[in-house]
Amino acid sequence: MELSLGENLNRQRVLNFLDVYYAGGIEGALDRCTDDIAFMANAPIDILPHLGRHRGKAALRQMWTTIHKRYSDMRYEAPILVAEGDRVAAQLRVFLRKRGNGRMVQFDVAVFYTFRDGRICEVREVIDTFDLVQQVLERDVATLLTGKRDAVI
Amino acid sequence: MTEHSLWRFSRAFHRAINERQLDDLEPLLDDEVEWAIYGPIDMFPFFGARRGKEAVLEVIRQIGENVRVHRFDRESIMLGVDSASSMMRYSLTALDSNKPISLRVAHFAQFKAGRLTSFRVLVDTFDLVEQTVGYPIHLPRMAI
Repeated sequence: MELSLGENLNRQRVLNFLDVYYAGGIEGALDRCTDDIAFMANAPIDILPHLGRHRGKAALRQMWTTIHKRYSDMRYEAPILVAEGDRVAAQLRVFLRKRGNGRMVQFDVAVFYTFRDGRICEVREVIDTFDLVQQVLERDVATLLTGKRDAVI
Repeated sequence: MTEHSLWRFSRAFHRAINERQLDDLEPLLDDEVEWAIYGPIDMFPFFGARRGKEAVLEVIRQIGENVRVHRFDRESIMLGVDSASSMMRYSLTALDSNKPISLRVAHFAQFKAGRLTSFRVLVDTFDLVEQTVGYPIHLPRMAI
C-alpha cells in the first residue's frame, strides 16, 4: 500500500496549516478551513473553557485568538502523520510559553483532520488533558487527589 | 490483498487484555518495540513508556490485570504504509473497583515486516482520572 497523490497532498496541507497556525497566522489558518469547520477537543471545559466543541470560522477565530493571547513562542513537533483518503491523523507535541509568567507548557495531542475540497472541514483532538491541566494551573493535581499535600509545580 | 498488520495486532492485543493470553501477541511485536501511553504514571503505573518486547508484554499483562474491555468502537481509522491511526471509544471495567469507564482513545501504530515497532496512545486523561476517583475534580476556572 502506498500513499496516493491526494493523500500526500493532504499530509502536506496539514503541515502547511500547522506551520501557519503556530507562527501566529490565525487568518491564514482559517483560510485553509471550510466555512462550516467542526472542531472538537475532549477537555474539561469548566477548567479550559476555550476548548470543547466549536463550529464555523468565527468560533474557531475566537478560540485561537484566546490561545494566542495567552501564549507566545508556539511551536510543534509532528513525529507521526498517517494519511488515508481525505483524512490525516497527526501525533503532535505542542510547546507554548505563558505570556503571564514565561513558563513553558508542553503537551501531547492526537489530531484527526478531515478534508473537503482541499480544505479542513473537521478537527478532532484527543489530549493528555490531565498533564495539560496540571501545567496550565501549575498544580500537581495527582498529589492533591492522593491527599498528600497541596503541591505547586 | 493482504490484511493490514493493524488488524492482527488489534485482535491479539484485545485477547491479551481480556483473556490474559499473550501467545498470539508475542510474535507480532518487534524485539525493539517502542511503546507509550501518555498519562499520569503515579496514578496508573501501566501508563508511560516501555521499550523492548519483554517490557511491552509485561505492561500489557498489567493492563489486563487492571481493566476488562467490554466494547470498542472505531470512530475514525487511517491505514497508511506500515502505519495506522485510530480514534476509538472504549467501554471498560476497572477490575479493582468494578467501576465502568468510558474512554476516548487515539493510537498511532507503526509496523515493520508485520511486526509492531512503535505504539503511542493518547487518552483524555482528565476524564479518565475523574471516572476512576468517582467524582468531578474541582479546580479553578481559567480566565478567558
